[in-house]
Amino acid sequence: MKNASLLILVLAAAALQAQVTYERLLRAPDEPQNWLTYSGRYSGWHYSTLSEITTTNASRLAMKWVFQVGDLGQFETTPLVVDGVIYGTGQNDRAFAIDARTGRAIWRYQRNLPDKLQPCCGMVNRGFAILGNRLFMATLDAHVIALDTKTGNLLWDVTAADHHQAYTFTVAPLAVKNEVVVGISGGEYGVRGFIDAYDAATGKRLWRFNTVPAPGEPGHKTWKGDSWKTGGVPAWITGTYDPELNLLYWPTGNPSPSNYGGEREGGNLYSDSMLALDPDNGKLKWYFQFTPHDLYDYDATQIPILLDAEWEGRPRKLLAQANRNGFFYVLDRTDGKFLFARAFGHVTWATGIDQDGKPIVNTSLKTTPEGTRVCPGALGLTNWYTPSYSPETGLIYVATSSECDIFTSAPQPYRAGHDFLGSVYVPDPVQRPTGSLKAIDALTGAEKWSFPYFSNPNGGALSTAGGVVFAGDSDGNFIVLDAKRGHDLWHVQLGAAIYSTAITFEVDQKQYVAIPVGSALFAFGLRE
Amino acid sequence: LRTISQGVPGTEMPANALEDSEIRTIIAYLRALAPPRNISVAGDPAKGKKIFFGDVGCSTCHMVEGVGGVLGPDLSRVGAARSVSYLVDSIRDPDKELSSGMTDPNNHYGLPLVYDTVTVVTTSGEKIIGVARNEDTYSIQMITMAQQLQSFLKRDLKEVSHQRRSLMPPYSEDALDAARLQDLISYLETLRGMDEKEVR
Repeated sequence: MKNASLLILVLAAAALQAQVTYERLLRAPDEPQNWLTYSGRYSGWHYSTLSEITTTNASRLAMKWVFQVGDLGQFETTPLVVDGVIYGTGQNDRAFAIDARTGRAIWRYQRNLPDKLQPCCGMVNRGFAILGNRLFMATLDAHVIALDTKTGNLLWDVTAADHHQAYTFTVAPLAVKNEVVVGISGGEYGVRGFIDAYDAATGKRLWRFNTVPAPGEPGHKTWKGDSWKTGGVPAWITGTYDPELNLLYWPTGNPSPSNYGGEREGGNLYSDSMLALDPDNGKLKWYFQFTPHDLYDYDATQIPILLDAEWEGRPRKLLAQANRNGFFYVLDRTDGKFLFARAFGHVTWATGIDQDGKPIVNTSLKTTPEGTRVCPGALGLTNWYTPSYSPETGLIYVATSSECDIFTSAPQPYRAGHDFLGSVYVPDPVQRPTGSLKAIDALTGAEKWSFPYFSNPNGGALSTAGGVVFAGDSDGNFIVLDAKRGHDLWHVQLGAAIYSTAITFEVDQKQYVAIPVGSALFAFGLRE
Repeated sequence: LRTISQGVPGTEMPANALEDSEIRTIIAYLRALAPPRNISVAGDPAKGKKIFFGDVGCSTCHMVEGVGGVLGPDLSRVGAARSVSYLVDSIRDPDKELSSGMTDPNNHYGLPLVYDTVTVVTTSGEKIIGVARNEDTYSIQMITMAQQLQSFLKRDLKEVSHQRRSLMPPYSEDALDAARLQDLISYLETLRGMDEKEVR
């Protein structure tokens, strides 16, 4: 027995030395014991082939350990797992590495942040990217940094933008080839959005794609006057990548001010869009705009899911996205051609999507000074909540909210570094919003099942080859559902709203599932 | 914070382009303000107190300074927190705007429950009515009409339903005439919180 323990320790110690090469990231699906990127793989599926936890034994789940971050606020990280070590970020730009077997900390990191920062929605961070022996973090003070995987020591630190102008990062970076890709936050403050790539070894900036075109650039005329200078269009959720097409798919957020369009007449490119970028130079290959001239804060910052399927009699490379504006879209990801869209909940701002993919806008619901009730509300039918695609069921699992809001609008002068919303919006006082986890057919947009949440959600979904979906609600319940039918298999109350999404990994040939909740990372496995 | 940053639709309270830290400073200032001492309505607070604790039955459901029922909101600070017109509406037409219950500090985007009417039906067919102190996907914690705290797992219930109306009955002119309403409001206006030593 002692010899066996020694052997495991030696193997584990050896594994800690492993480097995460780009080739390993490309083949992440072949390493189900690990979780190597924000969505687990470049295609954005948030799915694992691990299958020890199944529909028949999920009721035997039990807590294995808890790791306390030691800070307050929303815990939005999606941790990475590499060869027995978990790497995560926390509130206020904390970070940590922990032993995946025991939950014990290996190192902790705390960014020394300036006093005055203005992230719109909390001092949050959504996680690391990893490449080689470096972890990459995009920070609240608009820097991109690299940490050493073994120690958490700072390896490089570069400034992306001026945080005094309310530029900030909350995104988990994506490592592609030799570079680290990030997208800026600040759409509530009239920033000019961008997506950057940095050299993973040195931190040198390789390219920048400005999400609001400058004079002379294609798309600039979709902005009135100087409104482009404060046009917003952040890019605050991690994109996905197709190595065969060598295209990076990165979604963008709302135009600024978010709820008053009078000063920014036009389509406002490239707001609320899907961008297909060449990762070698940041050049735009194609774009698709979901919500032109958005008045309702419908950021398209939902993870694009890449899947290959038969479509109208021939194999096709597809991109699916359940959009915050309430419609589920499928595009051809080679050229951005619109294939179809279908509402996946109650939508009033548009009566449908036309054959070219343009919304048929309900013009009677423009925001007014008196207030207009619009569905979905400003938080959207879905939001940053990570969706999951299971190739076994062909379903995409999406957390949704029923909230409708009453929007009022008013012109608002721009002040650098201050809120730039042009509006007031409040939830409909008559109808308390609820939520659900919906299973949507990836190729038709049809709803297959819906599991009701009491409150509107903040967390996403993880599906596995065990035929289960792990999800979390805003009332602290960590939930396991049957992926085919949505039946409730098991749940546990963890005491705080869930703002993130579960990941799964394997240690000692045992499957674990971990979920950030409150200020802690909880790990579960099957009871021995 | 939401009221200051986003304003109140339908009123003259506008949105404000202030940072969270600035708003929190304003909130701290507002909370530090001593409650105003002047009472803005006519009426006799002493008579109003008798009405509150007497035949009209307010204290059956509402607590003031540690005395009274637990079904409705505690009113010990209601004079500092609510306008006269709001109080009048709450008495004459309790369904007009339901009071908010507990807010979850862990849920940044969440909304509080409201004092609506909750009905649960057990598997044996028993119907229980009350207000929800808390609720989630799997359970509900209620104060029943009998003012008992009860917790239910939803899997043990046939039905949980919310009706958007208050359990408080409307007090019309017949039940509470204008003069007595004035007295009651004038008493409620005096309720501005208490020091611990004043708890009876």
